[in-house]
Amino acid sequence: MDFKVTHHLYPNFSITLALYKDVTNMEALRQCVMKGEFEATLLKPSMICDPFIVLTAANRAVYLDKTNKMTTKNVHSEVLYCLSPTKNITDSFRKFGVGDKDNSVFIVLLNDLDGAKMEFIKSKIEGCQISIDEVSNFKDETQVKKIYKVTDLEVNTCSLSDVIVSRVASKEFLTV
Amino acid sequence: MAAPMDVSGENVRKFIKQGAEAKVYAENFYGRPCISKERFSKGYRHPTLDKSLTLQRLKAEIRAMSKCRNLGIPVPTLYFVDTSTSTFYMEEIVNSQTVRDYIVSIQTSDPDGAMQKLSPLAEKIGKILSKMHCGKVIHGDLTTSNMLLRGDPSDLDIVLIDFGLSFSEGLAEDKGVDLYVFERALLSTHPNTEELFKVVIEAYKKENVKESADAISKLDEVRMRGRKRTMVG
Ligand SMILES: Nc1ncnc2c1ncn2[C@@H]1O[C@H](COP(=O)(O)OP(=O)(O)OP(=O)(O)O)[C@@H](O)[C@H]1O
Ligand SMILES: [Mg+2]
Repeated sequence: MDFKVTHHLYPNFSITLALYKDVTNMEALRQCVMKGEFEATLLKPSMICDPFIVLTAANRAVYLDKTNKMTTKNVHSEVLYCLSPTKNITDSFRKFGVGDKDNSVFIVLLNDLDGAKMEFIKSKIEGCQISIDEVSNFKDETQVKKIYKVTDLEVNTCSLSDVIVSRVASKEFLTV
Repeated sequence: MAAPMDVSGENVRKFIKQGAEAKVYAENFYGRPCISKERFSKGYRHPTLDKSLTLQRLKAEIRAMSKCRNLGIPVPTLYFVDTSTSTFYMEEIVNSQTVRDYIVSIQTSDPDGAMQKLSPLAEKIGKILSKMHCGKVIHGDLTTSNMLLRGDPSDLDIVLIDFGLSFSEGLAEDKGVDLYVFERALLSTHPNTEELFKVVIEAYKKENVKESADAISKLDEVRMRGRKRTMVG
């Protein structure tokens, strides 16, 4: 049920996406990432309108890693930073990172061509995996619009998801 | 979401065209049809200068597209910017044709009724340009090839592209020149479009009476200068 693609520019690098609901051990999962037991990006599903937005951010994060232009300390935290419209790292984590009390999580795992890392992560999750496309059922549209400062004018010309895709892709060129 | 791609699947890049400053390709970006535009270096410029100029252009293009989105003017969704190769990847506007091709097809199929048929399109163009200028975006290369018509032409769903020469400026002079560039491009590409350009300008005025007046008197000035120049040259 995972969604897996190779990076647009670097075919030796994979991007895997997975969505879980009814997770009962979120705090423990977050601890695993913080202690370095495994590396992954754990995102709050309510902030994601469309998996393609996450793909756009992950694509960019891998590129920044490869070109030595990352802002954060590793490529998985860079995904989260790329997703966030602000340049404030702490704020980005607070808004887009999963919280201990959340019971659903959108996972991004990079560089796992053979799937071994994902197997390991899955063994740690107590929850139910569902299709990534179901993430739209979790979205908090009001909050998303507020955080990305999306105006009605913008959503007149294209979907909310596409407005955010463009925002994510142009982050470094926009003066906020 | 689009069907997952095979992990081993390779992206096929299809060359579309080579302009004066950039190569344009069609490809696939994680399942979505995508156009990539790679600005190449100009051999005759100093390498360092060239690099910074190319980067400046790229940034200007990204910023102008973003500004247009904010203004409610349709432009392609941006997917990815690779500054190391001066390439950006954007949504391919599928099921579209350039305004240029559309005008040519109407003028060919119905020469007598063309003006009437194209009038709503000209009005829509005037309205969009007015909105864009009020938002302080100067396109820099307004031609009928840099406007796409999406879906059924009667929907008048225009998408602006090619902001490589754009800049952010609120001066009437720059707006007047932008309009003049479009007038020259329209008249030289499509015969008998003087009346059509008048429709563009009327709609441009109507959209924002207050701000358009200065831009249009600048257009008149620039036209005069243009005429003098051709008389001398
Ligand atoms: N997003 C897009 N979707 C569909 N077609 C596109 C898109 N972008 C560009 N094209 C097509 O490619 C052509 C060239 O693109 P663009 O004008 O951006 O490049 P250019 O090199 O600056 O061209 P020129 O030098 O002729 O102005 C367009 O006229 C259009 O037909
Ligand atoms: Mg062009």
